[in-house]
Amino acid sequence: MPKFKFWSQLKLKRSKVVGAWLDQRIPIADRITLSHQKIFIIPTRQGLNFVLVMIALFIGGINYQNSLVLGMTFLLGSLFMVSILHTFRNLSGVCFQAGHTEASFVGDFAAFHITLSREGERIYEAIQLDWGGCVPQIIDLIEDTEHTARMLLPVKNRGIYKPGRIYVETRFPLGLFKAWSWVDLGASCLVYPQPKKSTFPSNNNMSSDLGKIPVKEGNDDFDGLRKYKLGDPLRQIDWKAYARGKGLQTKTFVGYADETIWLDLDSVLELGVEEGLSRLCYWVLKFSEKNQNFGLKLAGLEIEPGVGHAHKIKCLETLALYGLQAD
Amino acid sequence: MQIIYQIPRNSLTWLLVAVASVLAPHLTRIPLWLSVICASCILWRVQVYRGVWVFPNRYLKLFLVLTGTAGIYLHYGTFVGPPAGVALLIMAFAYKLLEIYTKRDAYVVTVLAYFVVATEFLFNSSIPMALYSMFSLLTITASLIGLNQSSSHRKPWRTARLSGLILIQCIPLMLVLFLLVPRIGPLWNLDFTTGGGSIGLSDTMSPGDFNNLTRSTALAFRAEFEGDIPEPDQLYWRGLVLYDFDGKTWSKGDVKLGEHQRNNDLVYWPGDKRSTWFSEYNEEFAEQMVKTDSPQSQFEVYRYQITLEPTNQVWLYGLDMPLSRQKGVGLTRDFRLLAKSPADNLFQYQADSILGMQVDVELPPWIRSRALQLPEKGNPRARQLAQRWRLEGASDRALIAKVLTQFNSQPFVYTLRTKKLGDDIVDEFFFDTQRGFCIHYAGALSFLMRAAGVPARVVVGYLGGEWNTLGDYLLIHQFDAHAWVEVWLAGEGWIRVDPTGAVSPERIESGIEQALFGENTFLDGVVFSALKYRDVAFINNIRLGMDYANLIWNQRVLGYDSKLQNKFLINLLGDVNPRTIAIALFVSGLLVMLIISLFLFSQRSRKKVDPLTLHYLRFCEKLSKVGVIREKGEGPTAFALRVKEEHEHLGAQVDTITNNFNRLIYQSDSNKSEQKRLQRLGEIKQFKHCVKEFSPQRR
Repeated sequence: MPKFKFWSQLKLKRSKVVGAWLDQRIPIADRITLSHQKIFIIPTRQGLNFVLVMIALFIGGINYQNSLVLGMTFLLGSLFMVSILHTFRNLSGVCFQAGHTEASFVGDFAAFHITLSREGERIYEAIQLDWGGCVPQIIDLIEDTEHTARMLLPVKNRGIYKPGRIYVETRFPLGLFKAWSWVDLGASCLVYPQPKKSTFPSNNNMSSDLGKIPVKEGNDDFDGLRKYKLGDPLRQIDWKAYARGKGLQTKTFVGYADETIWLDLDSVLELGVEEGLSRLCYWVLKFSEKNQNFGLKLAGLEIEPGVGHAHKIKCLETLALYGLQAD
Repeated sequence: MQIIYQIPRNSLTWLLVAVASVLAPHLTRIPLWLSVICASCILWRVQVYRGVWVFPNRYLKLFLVLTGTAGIYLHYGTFVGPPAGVALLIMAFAYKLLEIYTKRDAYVVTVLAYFVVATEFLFNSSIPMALYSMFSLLTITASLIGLNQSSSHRKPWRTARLSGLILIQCIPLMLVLFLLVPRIGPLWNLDFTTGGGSIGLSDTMSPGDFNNLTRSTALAFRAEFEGDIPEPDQLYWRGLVLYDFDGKTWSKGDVKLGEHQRNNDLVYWPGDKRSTWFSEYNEEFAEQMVKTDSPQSQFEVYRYQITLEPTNQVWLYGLDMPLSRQKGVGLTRDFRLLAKSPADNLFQYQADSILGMQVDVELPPWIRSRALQLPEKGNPRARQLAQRWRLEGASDRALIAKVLTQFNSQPFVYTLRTKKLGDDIVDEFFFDTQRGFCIHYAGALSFLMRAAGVPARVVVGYLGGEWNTLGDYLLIHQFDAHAWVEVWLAGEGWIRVDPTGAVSPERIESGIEQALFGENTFLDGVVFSALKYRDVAFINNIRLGMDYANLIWNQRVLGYDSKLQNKFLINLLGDVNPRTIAIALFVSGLLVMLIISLFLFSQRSRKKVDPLTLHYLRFCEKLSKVGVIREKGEGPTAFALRVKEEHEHLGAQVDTITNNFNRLIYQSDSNKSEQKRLQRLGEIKQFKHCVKEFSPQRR
C-alpha cells in the first residue's frame, strides 16, 4: 500500500528532523535538570473540554446577565491559567540521572535505572516515565528527595542497545495541561543473543573427549570436602554433614584439563549467523553453569578456553558484538 | 504498552463527595422523584465503590434514561429554559455516576460538575450559596487532582489542601477578569421564570392572606434614601390599589377599556407616547420638584433607590406619589410603580416621591364608578349607617371623621387573633366583634365611604421599615405589610386615611411589633429568626450587619453590570475604550500570573533551624564581637579550645555552654516519653538563659 508507505516515510523524516532539533535543544548528558527550555506544554483533551464548558458558561452568564455565573466562568479561566504554571512547575527542576544497567538477552528485558531527584523543598508528583516500550512508570517525589526507577525495556536485537530519549510527562495537578520533555541520558546496555537450545554439534573440531589431567574446581567427579567459603554453590554443600553438626562443608569436584571444548561458529554457520550465535550462546551458558572448560572461536576471533564468571561474560560480550561495528 | 487508566481511589472518594455536594442545593428545587433518583444514584455508586453492588446493565440504564427524560417533560412541559434544562442536566449528571469506569468518564463528570455548580446561581445567588459553591469547587478540584495523582497516593486531605491552595491562587486573577472583562449585553433574549410562586402581597387581599404575611420574617425590599428620610409615620409604601369588593375580599378588579381609551391610559411606560393624564402628572411633579427648593414649599420630596427581593410579581413599591424615570418601570393610572416583567430576581429601581402631592382633583368618571362599586346586597347595617350619616348632612370629610371616631371610641381592638367572620363581614366586624387588623379597618372604612357615595379605595403595601444604622438604609419586611384607604374629596383629590391609626397609633408610629406588644402574637409561631431577638443588641447587630453585607453583595457583585463597570473603569483608567481595557486586562493579568509564579517557583529552601542551634549561633555571634570568629566547619569543642586560648578568663562560661550544647544536640529526639521531652525543653530554656547572660569582654 503506497499510501501508507508515504506516510510512514514522512513520519520517519519528521522524526529525524525533530530528533536533530531535540539533540540541539536537549543535548545528551548523563545528568539532566529540566529547565524551561527543555519543557514543552500544551492543553490536553480534557483541557479543551474544560474550555468548552467555560465558553458555554460565559454565554449563559451574559445571556442571563448573571454576575455569579460570569464570576464562576472567570474562576474556571483562572484555574486554567494557573494550572499551566502548576503543571510546568511539576517538571521544572527535576534532575534525571542514569544509573547502572543490566545486560540481557534478546527477547528478554534489559533493566535500566533512572534516578529522579529534587533540590530544595519543592515537591513533584505523578511524573510519568515512558521509555522504549516499557510499562510507563509514575513517580512521586513527595517525601523522598530522590527516587530510582527500575525500567525494564524489551530488547529485540543483539549488540549495544541505546533506548534513546526518555519521554517524561506530567499532567499534575489538574490534567488540563500536559508538560513533557524528551530526556536522553545516553544510557545503553549490551544485549546478548537469544540462547537457543540445541543438541551439541558433535562433528568436526567441537571436541568433547575428556582429557585425563584433573583440573581443580571442575564438576565432573567428586574429589573431597573442604571448608565452606562464601560464594560456593549451595548444591555443592554437604548438607548431610551439616545435619550431623560438622558445620558447612563444600564438596569439591575435579574436572579434566584437556576436556577443553571449543565452541566454533563455523560449525553452525549453515543455520545463519544469528541462529548460530544463539546456539553458541546457549552452550556458553550451559557450560558455564557446569563449570566446564571451554573456548570460543568466531571467525578470526578466538577466546582462550577458561572457566568462571568473567570468562562467561567475556564470551557473551563477544557473541553480542560479533560482526557489529563497535561504536 | 498502554497504561491502564483506572481511577485512583483517592480521586473516586472526592468525586463522590463532589457530586453529592453539587447536587445538594438543587434537590430542594427539582421534583421530588428526581431528587430520589439523584440520591439513589449516589448510593448505588457508593455501594459499587465499597464493592457491595455491581454497575447496572445496559438495558436498565436505557430504561432509566428514557423514563427520566419523559418524567422531566411531563413535569415541566418543555425541555427549554433553565428549570427544565437544569433538571435534565442534573439527571444526566446523576446517571453518569453509574457509568464511571475509566479516567475519561471521571473527567467528564468533574467538568460537568463545574457546570452544574454554576447553574445553581440562576436560581439562588445569595452570599451563603456563593460560599457553599466555593466548597463544591474545592471538592471537584480535589477529585480532578486525585485523577492526576499516582494511584499509590492515599492522602485525601493532602489532595484537598492542594485543591484549596490552587483555588486561592486563582482568586486574584478571577477578580481581575471579573472587573475588567467587558460586560456585553445578552446575545439573545432569554426571559425565564424560576417557576416559584408569588411572594408577598397578592392582588386579592383577604384577612387570611394578611395574617400569613404578618408572620413572615422574609425581607420585602430595601430602600436607600438620597438625602432626607421621611418620618416613620409617612413611610406608606404603596403597592396595589384594590377597587373591587365582592362582599368578602377586596381585589384589584379588571378594567374594561372604553371607546376612547387606550392602553396607556392605564399604564405609562417611559418612552411611550404620553397620554393626557401622564403629561399633567409629570408637569405637576416637575413643578413641585422645583418648588421644594424654595423654603415656603408645602411638600417634601424624597429620592430613593429600592432593591426588591424576588416576588414573581410586577408590583413595585413607592411612597405616595412616586415617579421613576428608569427604563422598565412604569406608572399606573392610580400612581403606582410597575415593572415590565415579573421580578423573579433582585430588581433595583430609583424613584422620586412628593409626599402629599394632590392628584386627580378632577376624577375621571370611569375611575369614580370603580371607586364607588359595591355588591348588590349584604352588610345592611353598615349601608344603613352610612346613609343615615349622609342624610344628617355631614360633609365627606366629616364622614371620615365619624368612622374614625367610632373606631376610637368604641371598644375596637387591634389584634391578629380574629374570629372567622360570616357573610356580612363588614357588619359583623364593625358592630359585633370589633376585633381585627388593618385589612378589617381599611375594608370597613372603604365600604362605609362607598355606601355614603364617597369614592374610596383600599391600598395595600408596606408601612414603616427598620432602619439599618450600619448601612443607613431601610429594611422592609413582609410583616410590615399594611392596608389603608384613599378617599377622594372634591377639590382635594385623593387623600390617604389610615383607619388603623385611630385604633392603634403604635402601628403607625412604631411598627407592628409595638402594636401587638400586649398580646405577644408578633411573629407567633416563628422560632428560628434573628428578628425575634431584636431586643438582644448583640444578635440584632449581627443581623443588621449581615443584611448590610447582603445589600453590598446585591449592589456591587450581583449588580455589577456594564453600567457599573463603565463607572469603575472611568475611575480607574480615565478613558474607556477597547484599547485601554485590553491593555489593562493584559497588564494586570500578567502581573497576577507573575506574582503567582514567583510564589510557585521560589525555592523555599530555607530550612527550619532548631532553636538550640539558634541559641548557639547567638553565642558565637557574641564571641565574634571580642574577635573570636568561628570558622566554617569548626566544631563547638574545637572552637571552645580556641576561645580559651585567646580569652582565658571566659573559660568556665564557654565550657559550660559548649558542654551543654553538645549534650543537648546529641540527645536523640525520638522515642521519648512526654516527661523527658518536657525536661529537654526546660534544659533548652536554661541554655538560652545561659547564652543570654553571657557577655564576653576583652580583658
